[in-house]
Amino acid sequence: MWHIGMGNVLNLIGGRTASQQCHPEHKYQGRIQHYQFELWSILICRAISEYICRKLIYEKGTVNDQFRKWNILFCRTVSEYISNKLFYVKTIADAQFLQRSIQMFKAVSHDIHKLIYGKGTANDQFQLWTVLLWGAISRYIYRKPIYKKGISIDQFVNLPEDVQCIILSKLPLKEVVRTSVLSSKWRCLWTVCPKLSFDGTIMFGKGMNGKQREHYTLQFINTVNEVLQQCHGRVVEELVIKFGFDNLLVDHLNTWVRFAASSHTKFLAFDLTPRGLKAFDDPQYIFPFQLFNSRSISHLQYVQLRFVSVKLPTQFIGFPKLRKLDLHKVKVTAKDLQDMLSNCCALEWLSIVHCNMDGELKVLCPLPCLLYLNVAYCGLTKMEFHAVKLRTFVYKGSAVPINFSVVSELKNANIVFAGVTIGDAIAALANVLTNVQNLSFDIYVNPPEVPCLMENPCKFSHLKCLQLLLSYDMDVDNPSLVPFLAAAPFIEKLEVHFSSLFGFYYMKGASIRRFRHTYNHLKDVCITGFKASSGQIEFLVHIVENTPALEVLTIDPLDRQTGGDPLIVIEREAGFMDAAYRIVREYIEGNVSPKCSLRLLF
Amino acid sequence: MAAEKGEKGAAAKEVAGERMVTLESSDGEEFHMSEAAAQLSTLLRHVIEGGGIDNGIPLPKVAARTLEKVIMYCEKHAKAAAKSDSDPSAAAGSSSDNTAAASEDLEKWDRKLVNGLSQDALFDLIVAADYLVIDGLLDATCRKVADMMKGKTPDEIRKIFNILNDFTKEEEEEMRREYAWAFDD
Repeated sequence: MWHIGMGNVLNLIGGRTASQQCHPEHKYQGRIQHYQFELWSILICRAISEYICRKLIYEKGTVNDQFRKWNILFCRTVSEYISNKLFYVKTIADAQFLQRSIQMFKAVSHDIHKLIYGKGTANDQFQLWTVLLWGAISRYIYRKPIYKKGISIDQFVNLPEDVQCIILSKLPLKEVVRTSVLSSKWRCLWTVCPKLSFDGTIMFGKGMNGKQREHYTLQFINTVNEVLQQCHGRVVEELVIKFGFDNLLVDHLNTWVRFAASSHTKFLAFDLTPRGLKAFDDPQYIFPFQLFNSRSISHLQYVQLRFVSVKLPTQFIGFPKLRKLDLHKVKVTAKDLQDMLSNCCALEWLSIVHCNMDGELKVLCPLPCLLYLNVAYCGLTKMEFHAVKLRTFVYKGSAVPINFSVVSELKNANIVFAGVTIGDAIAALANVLTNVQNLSFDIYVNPPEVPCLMENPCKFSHLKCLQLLLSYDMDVDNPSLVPFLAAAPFIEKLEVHFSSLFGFYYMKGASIRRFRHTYNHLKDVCITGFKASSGQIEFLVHIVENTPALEVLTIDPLDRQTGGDPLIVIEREAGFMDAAYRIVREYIEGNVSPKCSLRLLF
Repeated sequence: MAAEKGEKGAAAKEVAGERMVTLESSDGEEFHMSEAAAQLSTLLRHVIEGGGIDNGIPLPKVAARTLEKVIMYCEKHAKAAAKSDSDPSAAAGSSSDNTAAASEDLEKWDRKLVNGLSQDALFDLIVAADYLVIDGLLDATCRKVADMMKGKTPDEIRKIFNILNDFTKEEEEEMRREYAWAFDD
């Protein structure tokens, strides 16, 4: 490289070939070293050549000496440059350095122009000037931290602010705050991160009890207040407060809600669930919706409230932009909840869990964007929603009438009913399940008052995958179960998980009834909790004799819900499992086509 | 608003039945990517929808080496999206395992891509993903940088990003005291 430099210089004596040879594009781009070096040499040589040309016109003799001095200095800097491996320096450092050197050389050539008009002492001044210039350059090269191998300067601070936000938001708050000591540029960088999450268990560990609690609570309050003060005036996209409720918190919680309102927070989460038995108390903290005005409430997109009490202000306009609402252990009346949802036309996701409303929940206003609805353990006696785009529905509780006006999009449902007959369960869901393709149904089955073959209630003509978790006191009541299956003529995959508190019994000699119904599309059947009780055998026979397309049959004696051991252990005959296995084989033989793969996990 | 396919600009050429887009990196190198892949970049999507550019789309802010990686990412994700769209049982419970496994594979691929980059290349890719507005790529690269910082002491982070500590000892002490709760483990 040294030689190239020399070579270029020598070339220039003959003419300004080097600078013309270079493609103009290459000058100001790229990070490949020789381009930069070329840039250097171009500028230097241009300066030198101008100097030479003009000097030659007006003065002679001393040219060579000066040129030599120039050369020496130039080559010395170049060799220093080379030896300190600037070749590996990339990105912004170089651009800045180049900028400076460009400026310097511009100044030099400018000076050379002046030489045309000044003579005599000009040369000496110029000489002095160049000596200083080269000295400065070599010192600049020498001192610049780009000497260090590898990465030159702090690339992080030069990233655009929104990218810095994304990176910092992936770190826990503690680590984000720690970055404030990295350097003066980093001091306030962390406040650009608009996602603040204060989780008491992460900050103080789980062992908060007794006297320590008050200490930690105060510390929590101070920490949050400090950080919020730093972020004052900035947009804080996310504010998460997670700390077991304590009376000390009340005023501060209101302050923090006010902060969220003024900071245009989009995701607001308050989880005040206390530890231990206190979690069963009534929530005390009344969430102050009145602190939001119509503008600040329109920023909210995701609200999560746990263990708070909700009392809507009289003029509540709703959440116009809310997309996700998560309520867990929230004390709210059905009427207030209905009002809360009254203007949520953007709501896509709704979860209401353990919010005891003891009555009917009728959300009459339409929720045109709702895709996911989860209602669990809310003590409802009736439920009504108008969500035409609903795709997934999860419900846990008593079997109550559930009414959705239009359910053409509802494809997935996960229902858990406490004690109910299968007939009543179907009746409650008849309106809901018409279009469902994937259904998971968990019922604690009560025997019907009058055992008889259930009438076919309705058709589940879209049901393809059915997962049943059936808990019985005694035995499977097929007169209810079979008609339910028969109502799904296109079923392809069936999983039945039997469970019994008392354990199923096999009774020798019990009669096996036959129920005629063909499942033409059923390909995959899995039965667990199979203890070869009469009801289960009857069920198995029904399946095996009526599935011409069966490809996979899995039978597993393990009771998945009780984990293998029933609540009450009853003495079993030795070789019970073997007997059960033999029974299964006996009934399957001849009924299952040879191409069906059997998996008997006894 | 339905633009005719023919009007979408000469940049969208057909190659083996798939529409291609030509991109030009900052150092003049030409790259081709399928239009489906280009749709992952909001910037490119707007350019294409707006009629495209005749001789390719110039990207003066993205170097060749970085653009290569961007195209790799976009093509991979466009293919994966096309695959899951054409799978009719994607919604059914029986295939939920397949879709979960597929997205897990994709995540693994993303991690492999960012792990194989030098720190310089990583930051270049971040800047490119931000400029081209490719959310998934920006997220994956930023996550990598965050992982580099996670669990490290300030000194270690300074070493990684070559940050010059211009605080005096007293200043640093004071700041540590101010945020004692953040420094106490």
